[in-house]
Amino acid sequence: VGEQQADFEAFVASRGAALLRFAFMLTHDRGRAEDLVQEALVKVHRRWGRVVAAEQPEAYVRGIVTHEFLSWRRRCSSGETPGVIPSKPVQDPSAAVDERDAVWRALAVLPPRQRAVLVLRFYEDMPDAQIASVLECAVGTVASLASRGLATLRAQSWADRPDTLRTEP
Amino acid sequence: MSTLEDLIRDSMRLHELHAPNPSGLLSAVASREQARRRRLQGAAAGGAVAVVASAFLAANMAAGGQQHPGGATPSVTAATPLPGGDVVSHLAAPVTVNRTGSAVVEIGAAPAGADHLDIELTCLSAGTFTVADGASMSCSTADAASDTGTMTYELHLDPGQHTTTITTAGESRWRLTVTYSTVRTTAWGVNKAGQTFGVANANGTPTLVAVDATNGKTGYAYARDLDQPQAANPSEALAWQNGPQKEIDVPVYTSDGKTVIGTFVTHRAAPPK
Repeated sequence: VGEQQADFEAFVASRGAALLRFAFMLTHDRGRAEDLVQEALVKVHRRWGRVVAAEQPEAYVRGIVTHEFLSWRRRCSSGETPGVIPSKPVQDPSAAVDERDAVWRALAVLPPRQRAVLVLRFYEDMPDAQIASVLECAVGTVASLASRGLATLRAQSWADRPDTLRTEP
Repeated sequence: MSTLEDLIRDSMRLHELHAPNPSGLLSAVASREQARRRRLQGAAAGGAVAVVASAFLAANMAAGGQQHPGGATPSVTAATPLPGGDVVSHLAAPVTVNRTGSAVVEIGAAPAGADHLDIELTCLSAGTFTVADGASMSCSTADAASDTGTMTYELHLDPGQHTTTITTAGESRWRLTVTYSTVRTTAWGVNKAGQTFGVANANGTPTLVAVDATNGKTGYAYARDLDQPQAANPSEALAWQNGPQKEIDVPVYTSDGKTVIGTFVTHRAAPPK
C-alpha cells in the first residue's frame, strides 16, 4: 500500500500539471478544471494498483477526466445546444492572436462531446480510434463529431472570411 | 494561409493554462477524499456507496450549502435543508482573526450546547492550510482572498475546547472566522406511500435520494436505481470495476415517488457477458 501511495504521489507530481492543462482545454475554466482533475484523481486513487497495471495510466486518467467533464455537463445543464459566441473580446493588437482568440471562443460554445473530440484530437494528438475508446463510441461517431465541430467553428468564426480557410486533406 | 486545424492547435497553445504546483494538487485530492469519507460516514455500505455519495453531493449542491457566518448575533445559519440534511445554528458571535504561519486561535469560552465550530478559512497568500482534524486547502496566488480560496467547514468540538489550530508552512497568511455552533440532522420526509425521502446521512439512505436532474430541478431518485449491481464474489466485483462504465438515465420524481420531473445521469459497471 505504501508503495502504491508513493507511486500515486509521483504520478500526481509529474503529470498533475499536464492533467490540469488538459482539463482546462475541456472546461475553459480553471476552477472547473481543478475540480475535474481532483475528482478523477480521487477515483483512480482508490484503485491505483489496478490503474498502474494498465499500460497507459495517464491515458486512463485522461479518459476519466473526459467522462467527468461530459457527465458534469449533463448534470449541470438542461441541454447541449451550441450557444452564441460571446460578444467581441478586448481587441488584441495582433490579427493572428485575434483569430486564435475567435477559435477559442467558438470552441467554448461547442456541444461538449464535439469539444471533447477536438481537444483530444488537436491538443492531445490522439488518433480517432483512441478517442473512440475514451468516449466509448464508434470511430465513425468520432469522425462525425469532429466534422460537425469543425463545421461549426468554420461557420461561426470565419463567416465573413471564408476564403482564408481550407481544411487539411 | 493557416488551416482551421492549425488555428485550433495554435489557439489551444495560446490559451494553455499555467498550472499550479502539483504538490498543491495532491493536497487538494487528499482533502477531497477526507471530506468524502466524512460525508459517507454511516451511509449505505457496499457497491452503493459511491453512487449514493454522488447523489448526496448533488443534493448538497441542490441545498445551496451552508451560509457563512456574517453577523454578530447568534442565529440559525443554514438555509432550509433537504430532509435529512444538517442545520447549523450559531450559538455565539463569530471570532475573526488574521494570522501568518501556523497559529492557535483563542475563541473564548464555549456556550452551553456547542458541539461544533463553524469555520470559514480564507487564504490571503499561496500555501496549504490545514485545520485541526487534518482537512486542508491549497491556494495559489490567484486564489488568495477570493471565493476559490475560501473553505467553509464544520469541526467537531471536544468538551472544554476553546481554541483551534491552523497549520501552514512558512509565512503563508490566512483569515479565520470561527463560531461556536450546534449541528442538528433533520428527519427524512415520509410520503403517502410510506417511503422516506431526503439526503443520505449518518442514519443511512432514504428510499428516495435527493438529486439534481439534468434540467436543473431538484427531485428524488430511488436509491435502488442508483445502486450498483451486486457482484457474486470479489473477483467478479473486480472484473466489473475494471470494465466499462455504462451511462444510465435514472428518472427523477417529486417526493411522492410517482411524478417524474426529470432525469439524473449516473454511471454503472456493465457486468461482463
